[in-house]
Amino acid sequence: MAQTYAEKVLSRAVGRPVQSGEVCVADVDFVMIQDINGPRTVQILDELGAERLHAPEKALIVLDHFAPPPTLESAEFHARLRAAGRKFGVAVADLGMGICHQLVLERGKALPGHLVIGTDSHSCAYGASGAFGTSMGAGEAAIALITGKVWLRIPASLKVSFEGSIQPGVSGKDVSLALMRILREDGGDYMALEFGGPGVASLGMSDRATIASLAVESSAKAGLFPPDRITLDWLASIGASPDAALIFAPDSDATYARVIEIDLNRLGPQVACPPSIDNVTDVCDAEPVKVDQVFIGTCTNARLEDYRIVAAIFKGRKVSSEVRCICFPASRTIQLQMLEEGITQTLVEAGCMVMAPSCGPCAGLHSGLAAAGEVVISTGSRNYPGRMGDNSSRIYLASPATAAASAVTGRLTDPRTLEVVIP
Amino acid sequence: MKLSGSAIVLGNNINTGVVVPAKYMSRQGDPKSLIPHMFESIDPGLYTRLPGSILVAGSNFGVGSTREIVPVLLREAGVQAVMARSFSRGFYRNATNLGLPLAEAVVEGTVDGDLMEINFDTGVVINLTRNIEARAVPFPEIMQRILAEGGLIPFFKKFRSLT
Repeated sequence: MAQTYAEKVLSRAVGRPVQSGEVCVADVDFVMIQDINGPRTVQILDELGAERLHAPEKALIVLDHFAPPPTLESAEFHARLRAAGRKFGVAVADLGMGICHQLVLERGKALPGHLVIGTDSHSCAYGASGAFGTSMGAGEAAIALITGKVWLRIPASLKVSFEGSIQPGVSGKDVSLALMRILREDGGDYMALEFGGPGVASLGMSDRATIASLAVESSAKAGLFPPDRITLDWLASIGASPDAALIFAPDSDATYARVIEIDLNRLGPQVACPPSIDNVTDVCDAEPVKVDQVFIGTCTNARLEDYRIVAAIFKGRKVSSEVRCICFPASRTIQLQMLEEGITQTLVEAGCMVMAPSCGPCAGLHSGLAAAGEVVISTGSRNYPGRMGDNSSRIYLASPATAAASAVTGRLTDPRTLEVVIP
Repeated sequence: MKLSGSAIVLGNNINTGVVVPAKYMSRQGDPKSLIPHMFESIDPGLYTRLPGSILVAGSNFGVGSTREIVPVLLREAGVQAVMARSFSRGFYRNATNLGLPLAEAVVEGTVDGDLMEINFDTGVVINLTRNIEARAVPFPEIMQRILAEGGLIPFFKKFRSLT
């Protein structure tokens, strides 16, 4: 029986060979709990009378969305989550440690061949390292913590095959937006996206994390990069030891629900215009809308590689006086690397506000909301009306390079039009 | 089980952040306070029509975040059931787990205010105003069992297992 990558990973989690369409109970390797849905998970653990968890060492509580708490209510959520961490022996990544998905990845908690669930929709980010990462609600996470199990329907897979190699000024975010342009918001529903093809070798781990995390925007269950040399080198660099028996590859004769080919040689910077992430056009064809705020951050795009690009653009340039530019690293590790490489200095000299690791204003919770009618260029993942502030504000989703270039000019700008060598 | 209600017709790809924006999540401990914000970005007055309604949506209802507060609030606001051409998987699971009835079905020609009826035993959906009938896609067996117990938590309390 030929299997997709998703079927191979889930066969191991179920304990027998499975095929798409089957409904199964599977063993979970790791559970991530964040601070919007986590309070409800804790409430359900209490309601179920849980005294101990199946494997507390295989879970992580992350305080990131409300970091630091902008309201009294959210401060109470954090207090409850810290108390639950102590009671059950689950590690808590407290304020300033980072954004949940980045932490799970950089701490080596999402390994090739593993099944990882999280109470955050972008938990599909774990597919960057070859883990089947998917999101589940607070209740399902509570039951997974107690039993170590979840039920799931084995998804059909959609193959995204990359040709060529990614070009200067273009990055993983542009790849994701180009994919959303094809798939639209419902094109991945109930499916796993599997990335492959020769062009995948030109995508580093940072780009892969961006692309995997945005799989959910097409309603997909997971976004998977079967492990290759790039994955294994990166895992070695963070000191993670994947199980050699769990390094799977999809069978060459596996069946896919759909195959999409993207030629990276021909891909330029993309932008998702309001009101949805599938409303995508090439930046060079888009109206050069005047910008009020640039937001660089989120689990989608706040890694070191992203900030190296941003710093290359800001080096010797200033943020337009008409624009405020707010930047959040995805983790403390990245924050420290930015300091070490002089990136923070460059950003601050350019006129950016460089904040501590946090989800920031991505979900409209704090630290840079948009007023009525304002235009925001965001490196985040969602742009439905009112996502980051007033319901009449408008969010354009773009790459870190496009965001930084637009901060400099004050208008939506193709980063390739600036005279700069983008790493 | 048979449910009926007045149709509120919605489009495709209704994001959970459109049902209730993430920006109000500090107040999730008091769900009733969030009801006036439901659907505010597409129609600020829509929430007043939610009691006793059946939402009739296009494809991919509930794309976006997998917050359980979304089906919780739909129930709190008095929505009887959600009918859609298709659901996004996260919402589909959460709604079932929270005991909010869903029907994956299309009744062409339905407009706001039509009286809808869903028979969850037979899977038959009827627009009583226009006398049009459709059939809902059946749920996987495990979801039917979860729904029969009133949601995931009652189910788990009874069986202490997922099987």
